[in-house]
Amino acid sequence: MTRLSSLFSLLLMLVLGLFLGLFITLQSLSSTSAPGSIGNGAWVLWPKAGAPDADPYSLAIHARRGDVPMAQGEGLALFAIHDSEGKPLSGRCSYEIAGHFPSARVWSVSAYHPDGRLIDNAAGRYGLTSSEVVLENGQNRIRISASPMPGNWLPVTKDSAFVLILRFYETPLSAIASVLDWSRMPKLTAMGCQP
Amino acid sequence: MNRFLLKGLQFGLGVLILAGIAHLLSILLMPKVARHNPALQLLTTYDANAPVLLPDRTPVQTDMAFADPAMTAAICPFDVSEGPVRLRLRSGEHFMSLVFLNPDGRISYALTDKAAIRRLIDIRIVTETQLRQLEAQDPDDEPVQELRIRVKEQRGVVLVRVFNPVPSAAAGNRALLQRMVCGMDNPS
Repeated sequence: MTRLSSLFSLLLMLVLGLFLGLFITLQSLSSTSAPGSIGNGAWVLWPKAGAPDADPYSLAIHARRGDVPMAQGEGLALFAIHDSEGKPLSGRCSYEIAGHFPSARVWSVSAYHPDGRLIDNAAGRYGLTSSEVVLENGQNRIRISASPMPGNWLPVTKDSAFVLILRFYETPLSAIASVLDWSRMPKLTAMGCQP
Repeated sequence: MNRFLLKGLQFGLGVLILAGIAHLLSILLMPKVARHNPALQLLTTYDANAPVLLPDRTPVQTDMAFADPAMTAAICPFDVSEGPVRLRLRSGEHFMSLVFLNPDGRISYALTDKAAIRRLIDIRIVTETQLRQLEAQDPDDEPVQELRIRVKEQRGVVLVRVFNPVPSAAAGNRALLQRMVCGMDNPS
């Protein structure tokens, strides 16, 4: 009887340990504050993900997400799933990316469904590049919204969560990604939401 | 009472230790088993040592999540088990990058069009042994023109991407990538 109880206790321990471990894994890989990531305001990046000595968390996050990280030397990619106030990005709201853009050969910004697919839209516009964006008062100003907006407009789907990625190609920042001066990076702010 | 408390503590500690082991193992194994891992997907979908021009990024593509729609892409899935693999392409006027992916998604090497010599990127993908053999055959008085990239894993993928500053640039970039050479160096 004691033997049976010990065996049951061991089995329970194994099952609970396995479930708890896998739960921690799923939670840590879904979180924007997973080990290996750094973030500020709306943006998060994995500075070591594109390096030959990438940490296991960055590798696991990118493998699970199904994307190829930007390589060190290739550039720097900033992800946003929240606005600067920590609220999830939603198609019910409009947003603006503005402020200082770091030096880069070229850059692009694109919007995705949370599973990584591009967002279908009537305009067939899935992103904007540094060549397409028209400066407003000498500044880059990009508006993200489900309804058309004047200027540099990036469409998203109404009533759906989305992810933004701002990529800077061939930027000196990729070498110092872990010590970025966030005050010299673009800001992503919510401009208003529909009820 | 103390005996029960001790047993409870032992049980809790056991659960925590096992959870830690399960967590670490799942993190380490994720790149090798995740079905979304693009390097694994590309290696299993396409033949090795042959260039593949990837379709333009649209909402229907699911092979590579979060891909930049401003990039036209091609791949060179390689297998150096039979010998070195040659990758040769011309760079154009737009930003181009080449990223070497291991099957687990780890980036082993990357370069941009700045590495091109007279707009030609000429790469020989080799193992350590193949590199030593090549170096032994190199003439002493002639500099090597190609870029030799030593890979630790015999299989991998080179992801080549060219930036389209405006959508109309995609056609030219596709034509550029269609001329990419990817194959066995000296096929028998």
